[in-house]
This record gives sequence, structure tokens and C-alpha cells, in this order.
Amino acid sequence: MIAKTNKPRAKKVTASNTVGGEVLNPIQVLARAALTAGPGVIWITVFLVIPSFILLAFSFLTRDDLGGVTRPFTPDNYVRFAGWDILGFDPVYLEILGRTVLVSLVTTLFCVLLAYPVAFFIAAHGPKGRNTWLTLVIVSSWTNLVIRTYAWMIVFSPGTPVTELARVVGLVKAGDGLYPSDFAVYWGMVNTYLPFMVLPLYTAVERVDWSLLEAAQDLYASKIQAFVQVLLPQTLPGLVAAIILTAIPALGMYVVPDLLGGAKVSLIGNSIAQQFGTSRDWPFGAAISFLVMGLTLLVLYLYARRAGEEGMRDLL
Amino acid sequence: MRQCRIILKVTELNLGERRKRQLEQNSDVTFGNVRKSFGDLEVLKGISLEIRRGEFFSLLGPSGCGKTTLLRILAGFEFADSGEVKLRGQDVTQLPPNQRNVNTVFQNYALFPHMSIWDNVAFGLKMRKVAALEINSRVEKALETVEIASKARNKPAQLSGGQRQRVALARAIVNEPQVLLLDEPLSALDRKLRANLQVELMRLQSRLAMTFIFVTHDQEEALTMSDRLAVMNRGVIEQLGRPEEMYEHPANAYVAKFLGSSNTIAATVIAANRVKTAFGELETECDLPASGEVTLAIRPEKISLSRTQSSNLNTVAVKITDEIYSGAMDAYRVKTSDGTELEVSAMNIGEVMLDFETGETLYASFPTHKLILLEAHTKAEIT
Repeated sequence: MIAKTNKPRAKKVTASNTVGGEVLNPIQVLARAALTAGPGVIWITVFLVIPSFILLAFSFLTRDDLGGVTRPFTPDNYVRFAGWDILGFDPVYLEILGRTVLVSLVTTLFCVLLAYPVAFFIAAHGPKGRNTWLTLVIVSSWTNLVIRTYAWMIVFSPGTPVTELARVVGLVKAGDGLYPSDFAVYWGMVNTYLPFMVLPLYTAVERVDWSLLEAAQDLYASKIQAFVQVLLPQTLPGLVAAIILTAIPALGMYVVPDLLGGAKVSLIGNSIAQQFGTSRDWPFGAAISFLVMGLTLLVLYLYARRAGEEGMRDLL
Repeated sequence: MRQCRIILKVTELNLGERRKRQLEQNSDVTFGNVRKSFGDLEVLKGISLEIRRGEFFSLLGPSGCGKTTLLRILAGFEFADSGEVKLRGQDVTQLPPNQRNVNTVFQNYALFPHMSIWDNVAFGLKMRKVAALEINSRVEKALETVEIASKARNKPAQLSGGQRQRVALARAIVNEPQVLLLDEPLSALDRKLRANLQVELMRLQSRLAMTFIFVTHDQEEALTMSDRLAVMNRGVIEQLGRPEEMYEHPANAYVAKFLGSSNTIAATVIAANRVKTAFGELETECDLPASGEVTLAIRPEKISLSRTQSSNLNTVAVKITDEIYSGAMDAYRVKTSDGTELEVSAMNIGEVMLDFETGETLYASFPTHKLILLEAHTKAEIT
């Protein structure tokens, strides 16, 4: 989409045989292309394209008795995901998918509500203060996710100061912990994804033209009106990027719900992990993976169609 | 406005007289001893100024002289430390910007990037809860006034600098403010476009009969456009008046140099109408003090050069050290026998007898009535 706009207008002199004025023979053109774009293409092919095709192929295959992958080619895995099993219709995976989307969206919503004030707060500081605060935002994500999640388990277990406080307020019964619970899952998710929300939002807020605040006030807007109608809309591209950066990884999260939710909360990420792990049903795991990926791409595609080229460029 | 003045001069019409009196009676903006400091730096040192209703007033000065701060205090973006600001008699010193009936055209235009041109212009009216039908007609009219109606559906990013400037103007005038503030609105545009917009701004101002306060560091712009202007320097007003007054009779060396270029000559009074300078005696029609040191000034274009000495009065032998060709004008640097450097300029009318070369020795004559007596100190030095 972007490359299209960069194409030179002159069509007669094809771009391929002149580079900076010198005329090249086809082999030279190829050699240059290979040297410049080559490494990237190889990287993407080896680590993204080939594995994706293997995954796609697996999703149409069948699990053998030992947990390997074997023929025949069959759409059974997709049918099973939709709810039809040998035992009849039970849309358990659709329910999990629905719950996952919900958890992802709620997590994103909490992140937006928390990140906006943080982004404005950081942007209000000078260059030095900004760096300090940004580092503080990022520093928590330097800890390994599993370790951080275990830490929350300890914090939320029965008898800790946090849990005691919750008990006094009346949130939990005596002897219970704050985990495992939906609360703990959301807490862990928001904690994980907040930096991914803050950074793009901060970038957007930092680019906001504050002089427009004066222009709005000059045109009879109150401070609140000026903020809502003039400043916030300028951060929308950043907000969309931040939502995508948060909601998509949140769809695939399984460590946090697994640990902080106990066995009670199962999300699609847990299902995929289970298929590739304990169940040793790679074809079904591959099918779920592909469906989640397809869903994500579909949403992105719909957004791209609506926002157009400009919106996509802001996003990238 | 300017047309009025011309009519007044030529035919002395009653209408013009009345208009002039009206202008003098109605003051639109009054600054009373306004002071403002940022930290230790006092940027406004007690500004008192009256701006009349319907006039095109310019605040002229170099960057950092306080002109923009004064404008921002009037707009309400800054508040004076002391002193008062009145808008048509109403004290607005402490009023926030959204409660003042003034609008600003910003230097960087400050258009809202996410809104269409139409929405940008309608913003002020929407904020004031004007009825939708009225908004439609007023926005359309404003866009037509600045000749940008065809771009109403575009976003600011799709417009050129000059077009954005027009939108910024429309967005301000659509609210029919008592006073329109313009903060160096033309400085980001190229020369040709600027000249066109200058004329358009003047026409617009006389058509709307709205008070315009125009901040600029461009002396030519201020001289061309203003009914009156104030030259500011380090937080004080050096001089206030009509452009021709200011140019022909600058109060001091600062104003003389800021408005156009000027030769200043240090001299000693030796008689009622004679002074002694480093390069000889000069006769002048200025009101000289009885004795002592004075500073005289003369504009480069008012010194005439010739190869022959036509008279002895105020004529000095000079040698051309530099010739600066700039199209319509020829500028020369000349040196008198004692080494005093002077600037002289002449219209490039293509006459061989006026085409001088570097190194030539010529006679420079100073018309007696073109010498100006300057005040010894600028106001900024005294305060």
C-alpha cells in the first residue's frame, strides 16, 4: 500500500534498470536486490512463512496414536472447534474463544483508562523526567513474565498484607486469598500489557500540538472542551496502535490466566498450549492457532478498510 | 481606513472628518501600566497604550521586545503581574481567554488537524452555542470572504501555507470579535504571497471595520499596513504614531534604525542652526538646543550624490567604498575624508550620470530639512 505511493511516475524508464542514473544489466539488478532485500526475505521465509505453512498443513491432518501427525487430510479439526465432536454438539471452544475475546477487551479497556493519565503525566515532564518515568513504566516488563506472575500469586495468597486489607474492606472471606480469581487474572493481564499501552499513547500525546489548546480557548472553548475536542482526537492514531498492541497479544496470553486463575479460567491460549502439550494433539492445536490468527487478521483488515491508507500508516 | 485618510487629505470631506473624530473618541483596547515578568526577566516594563476602535494597529519590534507577550495578555493566555487591560471599557485583566471577545490568528495558524476546514471555522460558533442555521451561513460567508470556500471539506494538511493562513483568518473573523489579534501571521510565507496577503488583510480590515492588532518584526509590513504603530524595545514603547510620522520623525536612534535604515551623526551645536561634525559643519532646520552634543540622523535615500559640487551648503566630499546592487535600488557605502561611514541609496533609474563606481570621489549633500534631531537616549535606556 505504501510502496505504491513511492513509485516513480516515469513509466518508460523502468525503475529496475536505472539506479541513481546508472544503467544496470538484469544480473546486476538482481544482485543488488538480493543484497539489500535478501536477508530480510530469507529471515521472514525461514521463521515466518515456512512455519506458518507447516502449521496450516498440520491443521488439516490427524493426530496418530502416539501423538504424532499423520494423514488423512481432513477438516475435522475445524469442525471440532466449531463444536461438533464424536459426542455431539458442545461449543466449548467457541465459549473459550468468546471468553478470551472478552478478557482481552476488558484488559485493554483497563489499560486505556490507566495509560491515558500516565501518558499525559509523563508528557508533562521535561526531557529528563520523561526518560525517568518511561524507564519506570518499562522496568516491570524486564522481569520474566512467569516470575512476575508467581510474585503476584504470593502477594495475593491468604494472609499477606494485601489480602488482609481486602478482607478488612470485605472483598474476600477470612482464610481465602485474592487468587485464584478473575480479579487476579485481570490484575496480572493489565500489569503485563500496560507498558505496551503506555508507550504508543505517550508517543501520541508527546506529539500533540499544545498550542492548539490556546487556539481552542481563544475560540471560546472551556479547558475541558478544549481537552476533549482538540487534544484527545489528536491522540486517536496512537490509541488505535496501542489497542492493537495490547488486545492482540492479550488474545494469546496463557501464563497469567493459567497461574492466577487457577484451573478455573481457561482461555484460548491455554487450549492451544494444552493441545501442543499434555494432549499431544498438534493438528487440533494448529487449527485453533490458525483460527485465532485468522480472526485477528480479519479485524485488522476491517480496520484498514475503514481507516484507509492514512490510518494504516499511522498505525505502522 | 487608509483610503479615508487619503480622502481627508485631498478633499477634506466631512465624512472623513467625522470618521476620524469617531476613531479618536472610541478607544477599543486600553493597557494601563501593564507589567509582566518571567522569572527574573521583566518583559513588559509598564506599558500604557490606547488602541482606537477600527484601526489597524501594529506592534513592531525585534524578537524578545515583549510585543507577543503584550498580545498574549490581551488574548488572555498570559496575565499581567500588575496594571490593567480594558476592552471597550470593560476590565478584562483577569478574564480567561474564552470569555474575551477577541480572537487570535496564530503565527503557526494552529488549525485543528483532525477537523475539516469547515469544522475549524465553525468551532468558535459551536462553542458559543450559536444556532446551527446561523453557523452554516456565517461559516460560508467567512470562507467566501477569504476566498477558500472550495476547500471547506479538506483537512488542514491538504492546504498550502497561504491557504491555511486564510483559514486561520476565517476562523477568527467568523466570530465577529471586537478586536482581531494577529501574531506575525505572514512571517511563514514567501515574499510574493506575503505582499498579496498584506493587501488583502488591509482591504479586509477596512471592509469589516474591525480593530486589528498586528504583531510583527518586519518594519516594511508595519509601515505598509498600519494606521498607527508602536515600536517596542526591551519591554517599553519607544515611539507611537502614524507610519509617516514615525519614519520621517523618529524619536531616537533606535526607532530611526529599526524603521528603515538611517545614518546617525554625532555633532556639537555651534549656532542656532549649525552643528559641527567630524566631517565638517552642517546647517539644519531642527530645533537645536542652545549648546552641547546632539545626535542627528538622515535617511540613506535623502542624501544625494553627484560628481560635481553644486553648492557649498551641507556638501561633503566622499569616496565610494562599496556598491550594493539590489534591483530597484542602488545602495552605496561611502566614506568621508575623516573616515565616517555613511549609507546612501538611490533609485536605479538607469542614468549614466547617476551610476557611480566603487572608488569614485563624489559630493554628498545633506538637505537642511532632511536632517532629524534624535533624542539622546532611548526609552529602554531610561527605564
